[in-house]
Parts: sequence; C-alpha cells; structure tokens
Amino acid sequence: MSTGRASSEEIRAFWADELPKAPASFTLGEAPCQTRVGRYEEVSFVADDGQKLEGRFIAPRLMKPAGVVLELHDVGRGMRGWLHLSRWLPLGCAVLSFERRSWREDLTEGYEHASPDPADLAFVRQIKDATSAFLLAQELIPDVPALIFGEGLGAGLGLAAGALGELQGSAPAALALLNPVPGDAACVLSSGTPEGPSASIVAWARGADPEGEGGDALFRTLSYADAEAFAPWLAAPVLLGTSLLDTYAPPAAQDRIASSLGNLVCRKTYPRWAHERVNAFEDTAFSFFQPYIAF
Amino acid sequence: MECFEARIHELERYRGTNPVPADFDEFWQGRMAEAEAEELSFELLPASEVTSCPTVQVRDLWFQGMGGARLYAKVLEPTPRFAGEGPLPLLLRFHGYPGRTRSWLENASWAGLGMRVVTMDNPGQGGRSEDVGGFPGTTVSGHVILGLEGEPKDLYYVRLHQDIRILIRVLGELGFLGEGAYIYGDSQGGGVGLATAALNPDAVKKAAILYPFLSDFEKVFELGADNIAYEGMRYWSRWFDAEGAGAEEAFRKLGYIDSLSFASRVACPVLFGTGLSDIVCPPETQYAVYNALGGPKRHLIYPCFGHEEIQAFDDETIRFLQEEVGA
Repeated sequence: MSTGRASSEEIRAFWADELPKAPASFTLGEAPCQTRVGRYEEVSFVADDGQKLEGRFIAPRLMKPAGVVLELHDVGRGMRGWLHLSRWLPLGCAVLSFERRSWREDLTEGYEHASPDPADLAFVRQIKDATSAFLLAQELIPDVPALIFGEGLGAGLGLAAGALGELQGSAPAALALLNPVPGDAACVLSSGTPEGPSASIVAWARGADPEGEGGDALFRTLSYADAEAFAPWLAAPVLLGTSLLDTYAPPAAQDRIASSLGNLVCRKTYPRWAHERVNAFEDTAFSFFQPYIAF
Repeated sequence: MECFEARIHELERYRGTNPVPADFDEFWQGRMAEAEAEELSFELLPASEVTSCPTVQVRDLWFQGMGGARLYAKVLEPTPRFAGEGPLPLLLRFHGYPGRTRSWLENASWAGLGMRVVTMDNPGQGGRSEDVGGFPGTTVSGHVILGLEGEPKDLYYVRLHQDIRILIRVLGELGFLGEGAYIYGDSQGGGVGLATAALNPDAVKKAAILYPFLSDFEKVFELGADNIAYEGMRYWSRWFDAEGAGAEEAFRKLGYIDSLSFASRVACPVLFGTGLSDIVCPPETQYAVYNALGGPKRHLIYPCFGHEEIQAFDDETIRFLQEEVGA
C-alpha cells in the first residue's frame, strides 16, 4: 500500500538535476597498519558542498586489483574497521569505505511541510555523499568492475549510489544489499511500529500531524529518496537479502524494492533473522560477486 | 579515563577465585596422550557452501575426532596471485558460544592479511561438527556443565580440547602448521584459544584473545553472572544442587576447563582485550586470567564497551599478528 509516491519520471528528473559528482579533491595518507599483501590508506575527500569526509581505502599490494568495492555500513555504528574491510582483498578487490557526515538518522530532517522539496531533506545529502564515494572508488581504481556492498542504511545508500552512478555512465558491476533502509514510508508505517530511521516518521506524525492528515505530502517527498526510488532504473545485477523479522526494513517494503528492481539476480530471505548481520547472506555474497570481478 | 582508574587498579590486583586442581598438568597430559593415540582420518574437499576464485581457495576440512565424531573446519587459503609465493602463516580462529564459525566472507579478513585460515565448528553447537554425545548427566543446560555429573574427563570442553589436538595433528600432516600457528578467539573462542595455546605450546606462536568465556567459574557464580552465556551453571544449581552442597565439587571439576587454570601455562605472547562494561563475561574473571598469563602479554582495555565487536581491538590485532609475518 502506498499513497502519494512521486512518479518514476519525477524522481528521475529530480536526481538528474541534483546529480552528485565525484569529489573535487581527495588525499591519501598511509594508515598506521600495513601488511605484506595489503596497502592501507586513510582517505579524505571533499563533497560538492565543501564538507570534508574521511574514509579508509585498502588495495592488494602484490597484484593489480581485479575490482573495487564500496562498502557502506548500517545505522547505529561508524565506519567498519581495517580488519573487517580486509575481507575484500582475497577476492582480488580493493575496498573503500567512509564515515558518514553527522546526521540525526531522522528521515524527516529538513522537511518543510509548508513547501515540501526533497532537495531540503538531510537524507538527500547522505545519498549524494555515498554516490560521490562510489565515483571516487572508481577513480582510485579505474578500469575495473566496481561493486557495492551494503547493510541496512548502507544498502539503501548503495542502491541509490549505484543507480546515480549508472545515470552518469559509471555503473556498478554488481550490488549485494542486505535489508535496505529506508523503504516506502507508507508501507513501512503500515507494517507495524518501525525502528531505526523510519521511526522518525512516526515521531514527526505524532508531533506535527497527530490526526494523520498531512502524511501524503511527507510520503511523497520522502519517496524521492527511499531505496524504492532508485530500484527501477538500476540495471546492474543485484543480490538482495531480506530478514523476515526486520523492523528497520520491513519485509513488505523490501518486497516492493525487489519487485521494482530491473535486474534482481538473486533474492534470499531469512525467516528467523532480524535487522542484523546474516552469516548466510555474507556467504552468498562471497560467491555472488565472483563472476563480476575481472580476475 | 580517570573515572575508571580506581576500578582498573582493583581489577589488576585480582588473582581469581576458582580453584586450580592440584593434578591439572597430570590430568591434561593424560588427555592429550589419548588424543595423540587417535588414528588420523581426514579429507580436504572443495567448499560446498561457496566457490573458490583465482585469489583465494576455499575448502571444507572434515576429520575424525574423539569418539569417532565427524568434525568440520573451514579452510581459506590466499593463492600466490594475491599473497605471493612462499609458505603461508596459519591462523586458527575459534568462535563464540553457542555459535559456529563465522561466514566465509568474514573469515576472508584473515586471508586478506596473507594468512591461511582454519576455523573449526565446535561439536554440537551452531555449525556442522558432530557431537556424538555420551556425556553423563543432564544435557539440557548448555555446554559449560555438560558432563559435570561424571568425572572431569567427561566434560564437554575436555573432549573439545582433545578434538583440537587432533585438528592440530591433521594440520601438521597437511603441512599447514609451519613454525606454528597464530590464534584469534573471542568469548568462547578466547577461552578455547588460551587452552589451545597452553596445551599445544609447540604449535602456537601468538594468541589474540578478546573477552574470554570459560573463566573463573566460581567468581561468575559469586557475581550472579550465570544468566547469559554461563546460564548452564544456574540451571544445574537450581535443578541438581538446590541447596548448594555440591558447589565446591562442581567448581573443582570446572577448574580443569577454566581459562584461569590454563593461563599460567600459556608461554606465547598474548594480546588480550577487555570491555569494562561486559555483563556476559565479567571483567573480574577476564582480569584474573590475564593476571595469571605466563608469557609476554599486553592488555587493552575498552571502558565503554561490553561483550560486543570491538573494532579497535581487531585493528590492533593486525599489527600484533604482522610483527612476525612481516609488512
């Protein structure tokens, strides 16, 4: 069930005007830890609004990378550590991850009910940063397949970054996404009491719209930035994992994303898993990415 | 942080409560001799759950453990294309309770350091290793007290350590052991990792241990922390020893599998991590183990972390393991 979503054409036109670009500048510096087989670097890059963002970049030392992964993390945590990110090296891939700019994890932050404009949403800025990072990954390791791996909010941002990359000729080779957040707002609300960023919609409604009369305008505005917005024009192959007990990314909202995706290669569901890392999904991703890596 | 200093100072002086059995060394010499006497039977097969690729080979290791149990370990090996030519250092990874070896992708982090990774599913827990049972007494209350009704040699973790000795023998046969293995273990994996280092001193070079479980059982009981990972102790006490008359004997037996008992026998360098907000494995019990460690050691304290992923410790582990691997 969804009320008041912007059309696919409206959403695409909005993002064509707001298209994030690769960072204007970036710097790389040697990280404190190094290994015989991996080159570890701290990266800083500047977003198009001048905000400086920090990240981690690791590349195989003894071989030319056969791919580059953008790994995007979930809510409630910071950027993943060096050991965690090293997992991509034995797949022959370099990896980039970055610390998101400060955000209250409130999807309604920036929303102006009197004159709603998706461009005002703070979350739109998060999408732009993720897209810039994806373009940066392709600059750091050019001419190899670029992959995206994301969990939760990272999966939602990854889907967006992949689609926006495609829009400007920098398509990902494949994406592995677990429990993407946020889904369609109306669907999320009708699925029960949401947790995570989507809980902010409930908080907004309780404060600003207790009788629920203004929801359509909000839902329409949010629809420009949720994971479902980008699904129809993402042509890259996708592995989508869904935990059926997830209250951050309700399965019904994920089903909508799945049915909107242009190239859903593999869908996995986990009946007794919630919004958490899923061993089985990671195992599937390990094999799923291999055909797309240029060994 | 100054606000934690007084507590840390007190913890640094704590030496443990659970008794170390007088015949601990003799007991374990006997158990290891039994494991050494087992005929080796193993096979290394292409992994059934995931696929290998030109930069990493993934395989299933099946081997026979004590009592004929069919045991399983994941094996990940970076290929020369990624890691260059030459022997690969070996990392043994031990998992938490009551789980299983983590995903292939997660374990690839260690292969990403240029190491061969072997990580075993503990029998009867969340993975593929078989538990052939036969433990005296109740089986409903978890693995900590499994076999407690019998002799110390009947305990679940005694058999597990024998199975690990067999695994090490298999790895020697496969030519994986080289000059010794590195160990990484967290929670149950931390306790098991310490015991492995103590019981196999010639096979272990270094150990990175995070918030070890199976530590200072009597202190756990005293603190009332027998309600999460240690809950088996509470069940056993309530159902089988309601008035507590058997507690002393129970702690004596558990002393044979207590990390506190193993700690002084660990001679290799240890990097040890503790979250001061840990309510699963109380910091007191962890400090007791650390304070008893016999070899070179370093204790990293994370005041605002509990029994959870501690990224900072994992990242420090990279340097700790690389010191001899060479960067």
